[in-house]
This record gives sequence, structure tokens and C-alpha cells, in this order.
Amino acid sequence: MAETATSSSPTTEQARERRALLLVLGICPMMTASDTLARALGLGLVSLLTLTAASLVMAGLGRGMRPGLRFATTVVVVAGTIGCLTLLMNAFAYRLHDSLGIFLPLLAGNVLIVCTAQETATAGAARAALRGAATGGLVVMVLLLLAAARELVGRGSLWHDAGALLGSRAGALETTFFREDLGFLLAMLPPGAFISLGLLAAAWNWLRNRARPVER
Amino acid sequence: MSARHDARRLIPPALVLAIVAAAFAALLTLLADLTRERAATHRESWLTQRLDALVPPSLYDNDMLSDRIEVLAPASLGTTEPVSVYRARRAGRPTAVVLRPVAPDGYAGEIELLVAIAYDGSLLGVQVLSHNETPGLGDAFERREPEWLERFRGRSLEDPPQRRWAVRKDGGEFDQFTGATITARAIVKAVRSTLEFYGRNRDKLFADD
Repeated sequence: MAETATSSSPTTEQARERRALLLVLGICPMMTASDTLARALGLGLVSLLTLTAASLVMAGLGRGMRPGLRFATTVVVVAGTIGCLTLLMNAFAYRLHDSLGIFLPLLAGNVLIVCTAQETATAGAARAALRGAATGGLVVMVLLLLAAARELVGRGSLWHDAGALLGSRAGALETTFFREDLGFLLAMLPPGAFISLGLLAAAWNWLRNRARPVER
Repeated sequence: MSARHDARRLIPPALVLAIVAAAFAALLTLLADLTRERAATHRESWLTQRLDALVPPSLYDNDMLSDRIEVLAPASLGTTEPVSVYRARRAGRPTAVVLRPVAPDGYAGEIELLVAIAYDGSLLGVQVLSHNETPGLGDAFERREPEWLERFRGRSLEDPPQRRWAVRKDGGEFDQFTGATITARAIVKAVRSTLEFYGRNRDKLFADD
């Protein structure tokens, strides 16, 4: 199967499945930040910016890159971009920077970011940037959905700590629905993140199958 | 055709790779230089807020943030890194210190603390700067039981006596958190050991360097 997928041009169905798989694999290491909306938005935006900038740089380098070195170059570009963003965050949003901690530099090895940036190396600059941004947008959306659910169920709030993490103006968003210790603790723990992702995937599949019943 | 030919074709992309790496290295160095001061200022103002909350303004008239020394005491302060000690003085006389020790044996690694001690060896307050404790259990001191950290205020090595300086489960005076004894134990132990360190080194800590 893998042979046919790489040697002949993949069918759209295969390509779509591959992208979905990449998305899930890429989101998993980011899910630590999906416990509150503020942190999810932070890590999501960093991924979005990295995806867009790295795709653009890779497209700018052109299609002359040989496959073997293209991967190495992609890794350098992605790591460099994240390095720049981390330094900027440390200066302008240090609370968010500290809150995300090790998970910022870890994005440099994220399969979704590296693969997307590498694939766009063969596209034009505009298309590459667009594709990077679209993938990043999807990441932001999934993280925000997960975080909204987890935060609401787990600690009874939305945008907790947003004022400190995202700037004082975002503080107005902070809403508390019930006391934190009445929350469903599991939702805040790491397993809660994976259970939420599973539920989200199930909901997505259910909606898709309802819209387009598959013949069996 | 061959390997040699192939190897030669790798030279241009290898050059691109080298140039990209050099460009990013330059960019990162530049950014690090440009942002260093701003990042440091932010962190300082954040720390100033913490210090102000711990040490009452009536106790000092100096700039604690710059009246700082670093001490190395891995056994007492829980870290092999140098620990910052901020010194409060009023009219030139020492009144209090704030140390930044680490409780190394939290449930999920290190818990960074800020411990303020008055000159006479009684605690002015304890704050947690950073931790990775289990949300909902080990982070009880943050919002669930914020008064837990308050209970350190006014305590010293004589109150409670040495052997009662532990969580209840170990026969001490301090409550533990439901489901997170290890976290409470780690903090109590670190605070006690910081007090002991202060007791042994008080004069040295206030000495001009």
C-alpha cells in the first residue's frame, strides 16, 4: 500500500486520509496545552505562525532541494522559526512563554509542522503560505475546541488566567461558571485530553457520515 | 553515472542548507540581543510584585531586587544551581531575606519556592513560583486551599519544634492535601531546610560582598 501511495500520485481519498492522520499525530504532543483556552490559543498561534513562516521559507528555497537534504533543511527552518518565536514570546508574553515551557521548543520536532513545511517546498510561495496557514488554522480550531470542553467540564471556567497569559485586555474574557473543586478532575488530567480528542474525532465522523451516507 | 555524479549533485542543496543554517543562527543571535533587556525587565517587575507581597513595606527602604547575592547550597536549598537571596534593610540594618529555594522532591519534579524570613528567623511568607504537580490534587495551594501557604507565616524553627516540622501524616503540625501528601511534604521539608540554612548562615547572608 505504501508503495502505491508514493510511486503513483495518491488519490484524493488517500491524501485526505494521510492529512487527517498527520493532523491527529501532530495534535497529540500539543494537547498538554489544551487544558485552558488561553494556553490552547497560545500554542495554537505559535503553530500557526510557524507553519506559515516555515512553509513560506521552504517555498522560497525552491524545488531544487534534493529529497534527502530537503528534510534536513526543513528541520533547520522549522527549528529556527520556533526559536525566533520563542525569543519574541519571552520578551513580549513571558507568562505565556513560561506556562507553555518545554512544549514550545518541542514543536520543532512536530510531525505535522515538519511534513507540511517539507511538502510545500515544491509549491509556489503564495500557495505554500496558504497551505501552512490553513493547517495551522485547523490546529488552532481543534485545540480551542478541546480546551473549551476540558476547561468547562474540568474547572468550570472559560479563558481562565487569560488576563495574565494573553495580556490584561483578555482578562475581560475570564468567566467562571462554578467552583473549581466541583469540576470533573479527569478532564484536566492528561488522559482527559486524549479522551476529549477521541470524542471529538467520533463526533466529527458521526457528522460526516450523517451528511454523506457511505455505501457499504 | 554513479555515486560520484550523485554526490556532486548534492553540493548545491548542501550549500543551501549551510546558508539557511547560518542565516537562522544570525537571526536568532540578533533577536536574542534585541529582546534580552526587555525580557529581563519583565521578569524583574514580576519578581518585584512577588517580593512586595511577601515583605511588608515597613520593613525595608532599600532596593531588594538589586541587593541580591547568590548562594550555592545544594543540600539545604534543593538545587545545584546558585540560589538568589534578596536582602531587605531599613536604615542600613538588616530586616529580612527572601530566598528562592527549590523543593526537589515534589510529586512531579521540582517545586520552585520563594521563602521570606524576618531577621529574627520567623517566616514572613512562602510562595510557590513554579511547579508541575498534578492539576486538581497537588496544586491545592494555588486556589483550592490558598490559606495553606499562609499558615507558614510567623512560624520559625522553634514553632513548631524541630520534630513537629512535618506534615501530619509524618507526625508533624502541617496539614497535607487530600490525595497529595507528597507535594505538601516536599514544601514543608524545603521550607524547614531553608530556615535551618538561614539559621546557620544569617550573618554571612547579610554581609556586604
